[in-house]
Amino acid sequence: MIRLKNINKIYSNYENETKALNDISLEIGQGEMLAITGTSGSGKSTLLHLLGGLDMPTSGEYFFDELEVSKMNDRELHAFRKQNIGFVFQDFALIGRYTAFENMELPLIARGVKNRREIVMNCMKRLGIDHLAGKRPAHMSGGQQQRVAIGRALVSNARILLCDEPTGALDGKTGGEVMDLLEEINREGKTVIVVTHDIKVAERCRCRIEIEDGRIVTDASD
Amino acid sequence: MKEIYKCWKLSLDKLRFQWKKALMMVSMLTMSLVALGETCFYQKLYDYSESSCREVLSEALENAGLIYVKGGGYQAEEARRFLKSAVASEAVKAIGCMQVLRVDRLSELQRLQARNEKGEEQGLLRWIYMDETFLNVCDLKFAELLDDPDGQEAREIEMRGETHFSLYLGNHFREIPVGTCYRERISEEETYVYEVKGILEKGQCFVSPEIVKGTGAGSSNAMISLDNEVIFCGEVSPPSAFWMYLSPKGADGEKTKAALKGLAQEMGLNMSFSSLKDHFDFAKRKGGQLQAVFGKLFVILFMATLVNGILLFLTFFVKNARDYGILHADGFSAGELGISCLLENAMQCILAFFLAGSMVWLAGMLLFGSKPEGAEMVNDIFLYSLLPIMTCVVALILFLLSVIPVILLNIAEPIMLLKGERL
Repeated sequence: MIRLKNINKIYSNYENETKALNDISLEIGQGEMLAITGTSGSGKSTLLHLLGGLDMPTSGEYFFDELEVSKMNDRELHAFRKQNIGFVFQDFALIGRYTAFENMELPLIARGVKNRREIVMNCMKRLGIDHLAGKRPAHMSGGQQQRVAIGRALVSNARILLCDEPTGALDGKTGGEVMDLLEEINREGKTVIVVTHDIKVAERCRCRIEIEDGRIVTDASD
Repeated sequence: MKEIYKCWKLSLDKLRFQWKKALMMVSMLTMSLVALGETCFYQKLYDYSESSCREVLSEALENAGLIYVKGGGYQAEEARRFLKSAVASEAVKAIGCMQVLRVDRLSELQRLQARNEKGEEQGLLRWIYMDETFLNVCDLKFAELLDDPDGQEAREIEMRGETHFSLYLGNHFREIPVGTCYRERISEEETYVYEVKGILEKGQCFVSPEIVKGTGAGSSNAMISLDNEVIFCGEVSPPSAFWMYLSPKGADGEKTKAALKGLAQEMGLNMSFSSLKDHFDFAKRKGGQLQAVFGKLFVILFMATLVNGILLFLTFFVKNARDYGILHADGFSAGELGISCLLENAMQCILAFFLAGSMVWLAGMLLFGSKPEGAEMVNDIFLYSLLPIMTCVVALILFLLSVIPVILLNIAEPIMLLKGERL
């Protein structure tokens, strides 16, 4: 499904260059649950953003099925993200002035879906957060917000969920509940890629890679 | 349509959440557009009314003069003598005093045609028609209404013969249909006959031939007709203090005035003179001052609105850059986010446009629209001059308010926005 070949990502400013990713090659199959681990600044979030089409590699090839994502222009990238990718962020990334329902509705508005209300309410019921529909993020707990964020990623029927430290802002119990939810989503056939520095979270994923200084140092699977 | 809908939904949400800022922007836009509208209105007002007046007056504006008779009107005898002398000296082409007769709405008056033995038109009577918009703009009101409880008003009309009155009106007069006569028995020996006849077409000019010839001056009238009111020049009963004269074509207006002044002095009459042009120029100067004030106000408000609008967006963008990144992640493109900003500004501009347009139109109607001609003038100026100008300015404001947001959103990379990084 996903194929990365000799991917490099270099950030440069007037003074120096930083190589965030160094010759990364990776294959991810459909329905996998992959954990990307590493220390802070190792390049794991950069890799995630690249996989999600939010950033472009400096060199190398990125294929998603038969599409060469690394050669897409902005418009094609936007379409690629819309069709295939759902994001879950560490700080939930909900828009504060919208309610939970409205936050989950946004991807459907972006895709021009008509029966949005039905789709969002069904998803909220499935995630057990339908009672939060009219609440704003400021009035929700961290776990609830993350469920809303996961729901937002799910409603658009994305093939891949990219989760950047989804339990990073949560306590152990709540984090465990969020991981249960992600596993359940993975069992339904969606590919889930989780960036985490938490070993316990990584161990819940069938596949794991470790990145250090922009390189893959360990590639393990169960 | 789908694309526009989702952008419109985003922009509506932003207006909903930031309604106070939106209200402030709409207020500033409305004030700018009102100042612009008033500036343009006063600019067009005098051109419109002057050209309208010149169109209907067969004589040059400069040749129409006004006389105010100090101390009130004169008895018929004195008026007759002055009028006769003025015409006999050939200083004026026509002169008479003005009255106001309230009648039902006059649509138009037809030139009275008298025919000779061969059936040729003689053009017996010519009527001066003055455009109401012009008089209103110059703030000229000859409103010495007649208090005539005995029903003498009919005698303010042209007298032909001793008892015959011709009423040159377009509509019925006191239920007397056009083209028919009405007999009023005054006493056993005297009967007044009122003949309602004729339609004067707008733009036609009539001067009483008796006045022109200098005979029976004051016995017939040059009439100025206004919608809803009829003003007559000439000797009528009772006379008013306002008189009007027309210089001969091509004559020097100042010479005419001097000749009349000399005549008045000889006869011991106390009169003050002015000209329509003087009144018009004065009104134009006053209007010009108002126009200058509105013009300056517009410039200040326009700049303030632009600066405020751009700063509001920049503040919002810097504070909420991450939200734009999240919208990218949700599936909105940079172009769609740019369009939503454009739509947000457009909604505010359109609302301000309607509010300002209504206010400018209403102001014009209150000031000048009391009569149908004035209302027509206000509508003409508003529809054909103000609306196009205001539309162009609104489009310019919309462009200037939206260009920076659209550029920013297109050049900002989604990943930078998501990380909350500035450009």
